[in-house]
Parts: sequence; C-alpha cells; structure tokens
Amino acid sequence: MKPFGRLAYTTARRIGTCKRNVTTSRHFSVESNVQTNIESGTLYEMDLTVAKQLNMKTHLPSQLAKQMDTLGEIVTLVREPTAEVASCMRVVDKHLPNLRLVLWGAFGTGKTVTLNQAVHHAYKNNWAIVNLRSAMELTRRVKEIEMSSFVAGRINDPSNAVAILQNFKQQNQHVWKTLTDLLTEKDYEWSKSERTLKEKPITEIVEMGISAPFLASDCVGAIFRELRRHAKNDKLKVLVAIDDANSLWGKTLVKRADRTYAPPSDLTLVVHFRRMIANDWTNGCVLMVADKKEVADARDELEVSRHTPLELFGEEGFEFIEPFVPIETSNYTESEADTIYNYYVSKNWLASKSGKHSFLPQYILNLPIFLARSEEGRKQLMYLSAFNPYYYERLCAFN
Amino acid sequence: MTTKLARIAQKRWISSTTSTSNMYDPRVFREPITDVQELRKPLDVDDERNFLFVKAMKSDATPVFYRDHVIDKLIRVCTKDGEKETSRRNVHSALEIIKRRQYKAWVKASDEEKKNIELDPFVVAKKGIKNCHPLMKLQGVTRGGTTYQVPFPIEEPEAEFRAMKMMRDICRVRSKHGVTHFKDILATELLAASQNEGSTISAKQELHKTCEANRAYAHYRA
Repeated sequence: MKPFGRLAYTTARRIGTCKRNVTTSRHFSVESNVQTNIESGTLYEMDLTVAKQLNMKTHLPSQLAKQMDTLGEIVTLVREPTAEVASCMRVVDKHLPNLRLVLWGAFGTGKTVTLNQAVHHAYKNNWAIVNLRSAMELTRRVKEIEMSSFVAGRINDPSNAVAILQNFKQQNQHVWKTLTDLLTEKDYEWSKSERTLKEKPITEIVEMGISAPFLASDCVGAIFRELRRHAKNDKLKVLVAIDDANSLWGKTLVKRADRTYAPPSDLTLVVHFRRMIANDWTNGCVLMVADKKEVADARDELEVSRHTPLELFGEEGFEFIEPFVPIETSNYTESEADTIYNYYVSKNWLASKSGKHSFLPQYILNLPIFLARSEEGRKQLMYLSAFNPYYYERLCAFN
Repeated sequence: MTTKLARIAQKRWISSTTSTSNMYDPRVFREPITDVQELRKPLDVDDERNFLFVKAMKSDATPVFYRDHVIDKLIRVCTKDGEKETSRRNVHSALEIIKRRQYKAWVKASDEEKKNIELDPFVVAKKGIKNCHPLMKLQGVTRGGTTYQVPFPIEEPEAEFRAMKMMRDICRVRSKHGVTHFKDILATELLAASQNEGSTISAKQELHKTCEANRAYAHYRA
C-alpha cells in the first residue's frame, strides 16, 4: 500500500497527472475524519441495513447484488485500489481543491466494486455522498426530454433527475440532519409559482425536485451548488462518486428537434455533474471510473479499444479532469484469490463434486480430492479465470 | 438426381454403420489423453503415439475439475445453430440458479432438514435427468400401409438423450416469447425433475402410458 499524502497531491496538481509510484514519507492525518482502518487483503463486510440505505443493490454489479440476496451478506475484498482511495480521502481538506481520483483498469478487475467500497467508507465517516450509478444513464438511457426554461438550448431529463434526487435523499440519511441545518444562499425561483426562499434548509430543494419532475433537473443543479458552497465553508465533506464517468464526454442518444444527436454539453444533468467534477471548490473528493462500456462496440470484432483514461475520456474530458490521481485496478494475486476461495468455502458456497466419480459412495466423494474445494479445484479456479476477479466469481457461481 | 448407374460409378453405397467418415486419417492420428494424471505419466518408449499425430481435443473434453458427462451432453443437446457458447452459458446459468435456490432453502432449514438438501447443482441436475429417463421408446413400424407406434426397448445413452431432448423442447416452448429466459425455465425443470415433479416427468409418464397402451403392437418388432 502506498499512502498518498499532501506532498503527492500537491505534486500531482503541479505536474499534471501523477504516476502511481510517487511515494511520500508519511501521510497527514486530518483530525476529524477517517478513523477506520482499511487494510488491503482483508475481507470487508457491509452491514445489510446500511447497504439497503446506500442502495447497494442497484449500484453494485448484478452478480454481487445476487450474492447479497443469496448469502445474506455483502463481503468484498479490500484490495490496493480501495486502500489508496481511502488514504486519498484522508487528505481532503478545506484548503485544498477537490481531490480527483480516476479508477481505471481492464474488464472485471474491480472498478465499480472499489467505488462502492469508497461510498461505504464515506458513509462511515459521515461524509455527504453524491453517487451516480452510471453516467451512461444520463447520456444514453433518456426516456423523455424537456427543453430547459432556465438556459436556452439545454435539455432537461425529468425522470433521471428525480431518480438522482431520490437516490441522494436515500443515501444521505446519515447526514440528513446536518443537511437540514445548512441554509440556502439565495432565493430560488423554480417557476412562476414555485420558489424556495433564502435561508431555508437545502433539503427543501431536494423535496421540491422529487415532487415536481419538471423542476427536478434545475433542483439537481441547485443542490449541487449548495453542497459545493457548504463544503467550501467546511460544514461537511463531500464524496462525488460517478461510475462510467467518461460517458460525460462521450456519445449521446438524445435527439434534438432537428433530428441530430445532442452533444453531452447540451444536457443539464451532464453540465451539473461536470461542475461537481470541476476543481473550483474545496473539501471534497471526486471518484470517477473510466469504463470501456462507453467506447467499445460489442459488434465490432476488429477494433479493441484501450482502457486508459486518456483513451476513454477523450481529449476534451481529459483536459477537464486534469490534474487527477489515476488508480489502476488489476487482476487478483494468488493470496487474494485464496482469500476469496476460503471465504466461499467457509460459507459453503462452493459445492461441486467431480461428476464422473458420482458412482462412488458418498464417503469417498467427500474426500478432498473430488471436491471443487480440493487443492486441484482451488488451483484450477485461479488458472481457468486467469486471475480475473469477474471470471473467478462466475466460475465459483455454478460450481 | 443421380441414376443407379451413376451412383455405382461414384462408388457411394448406403452405409449401415453409424459414421465412417473421419476428417482425421486413422493411420496417422490418435486420440488425445484428456486425464491430467494420465498425461503426467511418461509414454512407453515403443508406444506408437511417440511417432504419430494427436487429434485436437474437443472443447468439452478439457480436463477441468467440473467436467461432467451429463452436463456436457445437455449442453450439446441444447445447442442451436452451432452456438455452443450460448448453450454453455445457459446451462451454467441454470446450474447457478439451482444452486442459489437450494442455498436459500438450506440457510433457512433446520439441522435435520439441512442434510436432505443437496447444494451441488451438478448432482441435482444429474438426478433430474436420470428421473426423466424413459424405459421404452415408440418407433413407427409400417405394416400394410399403416404406421403403428410400436414400443421398443431403449439403451441408456439413448434414454439419456431422449430425456434431455424432452426437457429442452419443453423449455424452448416456454421461453419462446422472451418473458422468462431459457436458463430460468431449465433450472426450474431440473429442480422439479429431481423431485419427480414437473412437465418433463409428466411427459415421460405420458410416453410410458402410450407404450403400455400400444403393447399389443410389440409383435411387430422385427
């Protein structure tokens, strides 16, 4: 584990993108935050009630959400990327511009899982959480659009905006009281009849947006603005966690009136999230995932796109998110695979016996040599999955 | 349309054996060793395989720890349009679904009930297929212009195939309109069949009833 301290962060700001092997002598510990110890190589359990509150079922990859259902618990492995994210979050301070982290890596190496572990970590340390399940939902899964009355040419997305506000409300129940104590800066005139006055709790904006879908996109912008303002004034720390963040600079499927596809900068929600990513506010951490989903075409068998941040964010996106700390996710090491294997065995999840010996009596079948839990099975699971976490889990699922 | 003369000229006869054509020249190629323990043993010095080529290993003969004859055959039977990968994904997903359902039941069960719940999806699937094995088959025999459905005895491999085919056809019909996927229906069928319930078991029992009803025609067996 290579701790990132204030030195690494400021160096990153000056140089541009910072390489992973820049180390510091020791990291600063900011007093009021991050008490829990995150050690890589250990299993990390998330309490089920907390997971429900954080809406983990929709945010985690579907296989892990099913594990939540079947095994009755969410246990994930803490790996180096999570430890790095946790130590980066320790550095967040009201004097420093927001710390931008980009999780990148090959398919199935744990980007989304690390993001959700960080969200849980933020919950435990009483941060405010702005979590977007996938930026592709804003650009590609837009059911209905409305032209914005606030800025000409911008396109509102009522259903996604309401979903974002509901998710925000659900995930921030642990700091809802703190948020209610924070007051709005100015009068918000949503429309001719609806308005939120000055010096009112900012949670009213959230309620307003949920109750009126046609105002929701503007409410999202307002709540984000208030969060940034109050973070600057050191009232709370904010974690902005966006999965598939490179989609904010990618392709859209939203058609304008003249039947051309709108660029993402024309969508209000995309603009609001980009403002959250911009480093003009302090006391926050922005965790983004660069995912190949945006760029890769499943039907194109000739081209293989790269999974590096520059390739996925594009020139424009990359310039916007610079300077950031890139955190690479990788395949399992043997010890990590062993940890997961032992966990599955302890939960009785690995059940298979070698089929061709089924004519043998049960007491022989229970001998280690015939089980997926045997030494042979343990090794083969690692090699067949090529140490890729996703394929490892898939192999363990049906065995 | 070739005439009889032309056919003789081309030296093609209607063969009575199952399959004689082979892409591999039998003088030059030998079967691969699929068992890892066997593979580790050194070959005899005068073994002919030292001097011959080896056929390519089939994709369902690889020495993985979850290699199972019944499941592999089920994958082959459910393959459509040569898309074995899709079929493999479906069958393995069905096994996963079986495992999840059994696991949930196992977690809730009391200690005595726990012993009766089988968590291994391979064992459940094999038991399900075994329970669906028909004991006889009906074959059409034409006598004097009428085709009679005559009950015939059946070998184990064919019984296994027929069981899988019945199950596959039922699952395909049910998943046709896309609301439920093939893997979910296959999982339900296998789980039910292992308890001697479900549509495939009923289909097998219908077959047995028809065989019993047509037992008079057994005299037509050649």
